[in-house]
Amino acid sequence: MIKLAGGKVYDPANGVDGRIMDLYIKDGQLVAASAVDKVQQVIDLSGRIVMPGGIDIHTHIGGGKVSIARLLMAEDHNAHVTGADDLLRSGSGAIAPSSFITGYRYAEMGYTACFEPAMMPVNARQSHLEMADTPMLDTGAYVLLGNDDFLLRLLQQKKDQQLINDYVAWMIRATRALGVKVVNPGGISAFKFNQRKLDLDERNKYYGLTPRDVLSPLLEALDTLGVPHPLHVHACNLGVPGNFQTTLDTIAAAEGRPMHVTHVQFHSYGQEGDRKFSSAAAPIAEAVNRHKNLSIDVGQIMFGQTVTASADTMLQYKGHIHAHPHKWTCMDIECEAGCGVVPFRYRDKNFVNALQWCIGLEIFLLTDDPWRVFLTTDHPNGAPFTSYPHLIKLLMDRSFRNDVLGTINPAAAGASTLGSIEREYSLYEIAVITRAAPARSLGLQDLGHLGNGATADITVYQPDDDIETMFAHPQYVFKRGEMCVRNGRVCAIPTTSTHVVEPDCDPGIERSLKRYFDRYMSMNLENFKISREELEGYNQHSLLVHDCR
Amino acid sequence: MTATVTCPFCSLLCDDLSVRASGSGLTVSANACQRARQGFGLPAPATEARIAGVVAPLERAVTRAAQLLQKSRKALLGGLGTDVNGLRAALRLAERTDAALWHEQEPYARQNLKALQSRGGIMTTLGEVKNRADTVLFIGNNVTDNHPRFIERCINPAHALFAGKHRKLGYLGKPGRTELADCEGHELVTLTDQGNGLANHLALLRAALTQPQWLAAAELPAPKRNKLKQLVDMVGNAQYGALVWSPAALPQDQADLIIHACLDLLRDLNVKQRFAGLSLGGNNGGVSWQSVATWQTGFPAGVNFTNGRPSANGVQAADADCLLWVSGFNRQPPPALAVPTIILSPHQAGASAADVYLPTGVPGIDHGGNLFRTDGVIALPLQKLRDRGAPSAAEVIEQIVERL
Repeated sequence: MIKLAGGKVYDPANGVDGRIMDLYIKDGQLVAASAVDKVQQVIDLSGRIVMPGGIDIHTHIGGGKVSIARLLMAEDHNAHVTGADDLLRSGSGAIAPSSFITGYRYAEMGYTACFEPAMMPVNARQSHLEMADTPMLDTGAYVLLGNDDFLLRLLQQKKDQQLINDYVAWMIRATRALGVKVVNPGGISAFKFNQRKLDLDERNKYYGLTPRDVLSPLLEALDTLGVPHPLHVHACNLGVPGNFQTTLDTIAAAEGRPMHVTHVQFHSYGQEGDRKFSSAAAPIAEAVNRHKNLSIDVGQIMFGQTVTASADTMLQYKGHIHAHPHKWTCMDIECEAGCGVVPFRYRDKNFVNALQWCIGLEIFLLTDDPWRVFLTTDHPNGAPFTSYPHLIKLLMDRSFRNDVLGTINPAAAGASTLGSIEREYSLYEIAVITRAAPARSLGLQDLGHLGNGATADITVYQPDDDIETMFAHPQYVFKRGEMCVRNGRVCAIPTTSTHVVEPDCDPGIERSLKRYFDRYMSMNLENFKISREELEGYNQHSLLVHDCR
Repeated sequence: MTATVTCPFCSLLCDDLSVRASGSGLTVSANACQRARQGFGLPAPATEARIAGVVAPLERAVTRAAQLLQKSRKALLGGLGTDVNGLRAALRLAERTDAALWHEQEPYARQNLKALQSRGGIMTTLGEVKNRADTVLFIGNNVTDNHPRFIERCINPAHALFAGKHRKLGYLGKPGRTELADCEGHELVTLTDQGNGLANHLALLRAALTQPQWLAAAELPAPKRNKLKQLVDMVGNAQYGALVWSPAALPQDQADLIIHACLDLLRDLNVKQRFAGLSLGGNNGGVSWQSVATWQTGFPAGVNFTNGRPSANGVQAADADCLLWVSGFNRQPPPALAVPTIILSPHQAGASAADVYLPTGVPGIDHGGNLFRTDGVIALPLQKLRDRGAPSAAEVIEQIVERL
């Protein structure tokens, strides 16, 4: 039994906003003072700031595309090598770090759970294997649907929604997923038929389906199945000037059903002005504010070298002309989806990049309900996750933000409303967008809060005049009640879990899938499915199954 | 047993085999190829460990192996013919002993990596070729030799979603005899069957495809011009094409250049149409090695450790002062080095001359696990098909690590 005494606690899920209080940990859980029999250890946290462990709802940490990114970014790996010691494994890379390093760096930043947003069904085994080698963190993944031939055929044949629901549920179970993501609905498939763009109402020339035709039944399926996290949508026209209209149309297409629109910064571009590129953060934020069914993550960009990795081959191929260094990979995968990896360097003196930076911050600051806004850089696409403390400072400190604004491309700074926005995030709001809100959206009832019965994933910060320093180097991090980071360094390797849901499905769907696999897929249905025993065997990961509604 | 057995003996990882016990080995009763027959047919693993050729208890042999590795300053963990878990364990051991790692297929894999790390690629997978590729160009001699069911599964499938029964095939290089027989019924154009001058022929094809005016004006013998013209038409008419090569089947002194040229050609073609590459290689756990090494260390090949720090500097086998050789899939003996040698293998090739021999099972026969397929995207589960008590390489390596 551990007593964390006298810290200043920010626990938005329980309405706690900077209250001085004691926390009690027993068997890896937070318990009430009344449940305490004997305190073995008291840790004095007076003057410290206490939050639940950080939760990243959208970070590319597991799967083939990350490893292609590592392979392409050889210079970064040569330049950043970390050795092993008695406790820690070795690794390399600062942009798409190797798996062990990813786990350590997240933990050292106070994060305790991370979710891979784009797990291709046929690549699920690799995603889980990599995440099992990512220590310190609970993990989970959203399975990628909406460009898979099987589903597109069901939709083309106008099959009953019940069948779609069964297929979606079966896929979630077979790949051990926590949710479902759709990327450029039908567009990755269209690229394989040599279509180079696909608007929301433009038809895939083989199936005759539009992205809207794909989006709607998937939204319906997730809602009906009661999967806590709504459909995670990477809309069409990513990065295309003027795409904000597509984004608004996509939001409207949800027709009030729950939907999560991801890395919305990349989808909030207008085409005003001499350079035909402008911020449309205001109409997007206004739409987010108005549509209570909607949540977003921002996908903030930061200046510097990174690598973009996405299933959206159609737009990654288009973006390859901007590759820096000039090497890039695109892959068509198993009539299911694809992957495109393009190294990228965001420059603060470049008009477009500087405005992208402004647009992300505008979205953070113009949306008024932090419970529906999650902090992400779409790691590593906008920037590596290690830039979060800097991003938090930009959100919390207007004068710092305006100082940086004064250094970027002046035309971009002038074209943005950012300088006039007065809002500063509070610690409470930061705790919402990095902890409480992601946990609630994912249906993780025991994470993201510090109430009785919660898993004791806790981050303790030493206040600092520089808020970036505070968030970059927590004093303590507890994982399941075990202290695993002390003074900003990993001090123990805790046990972790994989979070999944198992929505109900009619087992009959497997008969049609078996027939399809036998004819068309390049592997057996039985070998496609990942059993609980197999997953738990990867690294003694326990499986945590969350309830559907 | 049902026909869902995964074959670990090449990186196609066909998982539609039926296998039954027969004598001391196993017999493939459905969907066999030459490699599968041979691999499954090998005798069951040895059961006795050896120290300096003499039978010894496993415990003592493991301890001896740990002593040798601990004493070494530049150990080499070689061969690495094992599954994902075996490779994870090998990386842990290397990190603890400052060792280098070297997969037997790495010289070929590096030919791909050199090109991919400097250019990137436009690539595809087995399922895409099977269902979508109406046009396939093979680059090299006997491209599918080490992947015997590629033509059967990807060019001649009973069912395909988009591509028709009859495909258009082009060859730059010499088709293998069985390849030619298997490709009957498809339109086939062979630009050269000489097997050499591949890089030149690829350059000719690229010029002809990207600069039609060059082909019209070029001084070429009529037969070559005609074939080039046929290939240009074939490629130009493709709805979805694939370029297939195998690094091991290319002339090694030019392999990286040829692969580079393939990647450049793919970039050119994709400006207007869809065409993607597929590399056949990485048998004996080679693709798995590249995958695991990349996610665990950030480096896809040539991994070695100094003071626990990984680098991709590689190591010369001749510089090693201790060799741990892992050969789970075949009877390949270790290279003859005048240094202490530890063998982990089901088979006793070289065992009597080794300092330590540790018997292990065959991944996918004696124990389960995972292997990655040639396209690098799909990991397939392996099955345990018999129980002779043979441990996995991962288990044995972990025991060594515990004794360090």
